[in-house]
Amino acid sequence: MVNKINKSIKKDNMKSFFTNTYRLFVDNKINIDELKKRLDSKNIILPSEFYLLSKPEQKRYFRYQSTIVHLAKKFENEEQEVFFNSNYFYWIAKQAAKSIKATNELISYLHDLKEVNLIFLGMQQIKVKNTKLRLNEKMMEYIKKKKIHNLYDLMIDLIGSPHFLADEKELRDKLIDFLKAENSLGFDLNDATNKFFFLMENLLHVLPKKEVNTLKVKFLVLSKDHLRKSDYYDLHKSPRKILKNYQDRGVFTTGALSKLKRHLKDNPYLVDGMYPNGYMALYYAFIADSEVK
Amino acid sequence: MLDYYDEISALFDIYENEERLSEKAICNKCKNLIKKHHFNRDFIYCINDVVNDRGYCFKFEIDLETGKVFDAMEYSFLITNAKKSQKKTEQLILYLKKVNDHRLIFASIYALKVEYLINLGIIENNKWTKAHSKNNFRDLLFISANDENNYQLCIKTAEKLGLKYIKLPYMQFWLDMEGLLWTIEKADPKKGYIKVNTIKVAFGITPRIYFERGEKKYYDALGSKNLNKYLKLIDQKMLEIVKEKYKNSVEPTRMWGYSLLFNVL
Repeated sequence: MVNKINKSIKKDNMKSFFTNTYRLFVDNKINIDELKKRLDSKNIILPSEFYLLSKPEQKRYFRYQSTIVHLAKKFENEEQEVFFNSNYFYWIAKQAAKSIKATNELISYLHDLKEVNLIFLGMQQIKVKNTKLRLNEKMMEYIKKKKIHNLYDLMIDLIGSPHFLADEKELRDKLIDFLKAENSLGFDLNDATNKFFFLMENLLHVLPKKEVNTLKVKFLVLSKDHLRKSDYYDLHKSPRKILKNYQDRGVFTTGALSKLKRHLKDNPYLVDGMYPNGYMALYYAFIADSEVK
Repeated sequence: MLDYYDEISALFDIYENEERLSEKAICNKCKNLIKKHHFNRDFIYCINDVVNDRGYCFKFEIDLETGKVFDAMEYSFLITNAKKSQKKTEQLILYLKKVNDHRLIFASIYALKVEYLINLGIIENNKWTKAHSKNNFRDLLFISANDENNYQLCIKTAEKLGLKYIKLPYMQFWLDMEGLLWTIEKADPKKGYIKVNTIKVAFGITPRIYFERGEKKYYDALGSKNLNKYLKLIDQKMLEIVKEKYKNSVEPTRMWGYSLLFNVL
């Protein structure tokens, strides 16, 4: 136990050492050579591409918070804004694959970003075994049986499937509670809008991941900056042709489509009343196509 | 603009390399600079550009001027009468300026008769505008697209109507997208505008309330069913030109309806 606590303190110290040292670099107090020297002395290894970047890019590499200074109020009003930084996101995601602490950091980052598209993106990087769900034996048995690893796949499998067994209801509720909790992602699947986004994800889930990402970029669900280059295809393809191709092959005639339609029947003004977003455009293009046929 | 950028950049070199100021201290220096320049908009844009290019994470927010709150009743009255009356046209223009929303302006310029705009001195009185005096300003704007001189004349007029930033690239993109939608109206003069409005509502380009006059709705409420049919009515030649023009440059950072529409097409 003492060892565990010591290890944890050491880790926390390392983190604050890194944060403080990196801050000195951002604040022009030390140069890049000095930064490297200080981090090396503590065996903190940064991603290899970091040292190849320009100084401004290095300064922004690990930052994900920005200060907004409002001019209308003559500088009296300042607020902090959390923004998406792909370097930081994939760096922390890489660590989250092996560590519960980094997983918590990633979850808290996604929570602060408060953007559903990024929550879905981040969930694909979160291993269920590193979340609080690991404490639920039944859940762990379930993911072992279904060979599920990440939180996103668990959500699609458990909540997206058209039929589920009675004993899966408990797991389903547990997962919904976990996603909703304020100290977790703060993502409420019982909210009709969120459910619509989820059902759109559920619909696309049957396509190859790269194709889904290509569609997401085209429909502005995600921007190219959110992904790595290898995560999507050529963006000159027409997204409606991609969708039509899959529609013609009958890929979408699954329970996912009927679930989506049922949800929209229950909430007839949902999509039309939304603030413009990529899922909405995707829905219009998709439903329009299927209705025209 | 560039002069400001270079001037600020030179100052940042001193802050970073000689004075070795922290990010917070640089932010404070910027506040003083902005005050010295009397909150000049161009100067603030340049400051934000330099701050971003130097890798710092703060920015100065130029809060949008908030206009008059949109009143559906008042607007309906003005827009339905503007076509028939020069006085109402003048009142509508004043109203658009007060509300200060480009979406409302784009949704209203069809009601501005060129003849009245000439009489009000908003558009130049010349041979070309006189020849189109029976047209509306929306038609005139897109008809002029292939004629640089007349196009510039229309752009100037659009500025006077409240589209202050129409010359900026993002607005030029919106204008080109509006031009594409206009081709639907050209092909179907009777019902085209309903189809265009439906597309605009579906993609969140324009709030539906701007197309409602009391009980009457000037868009197709179940538009999603016909959306693909409507999109196919866009002039394909024009579409190819716009696609080619923006294929590498539309990297929207915000969920603008026009960008969504562009990507879907």
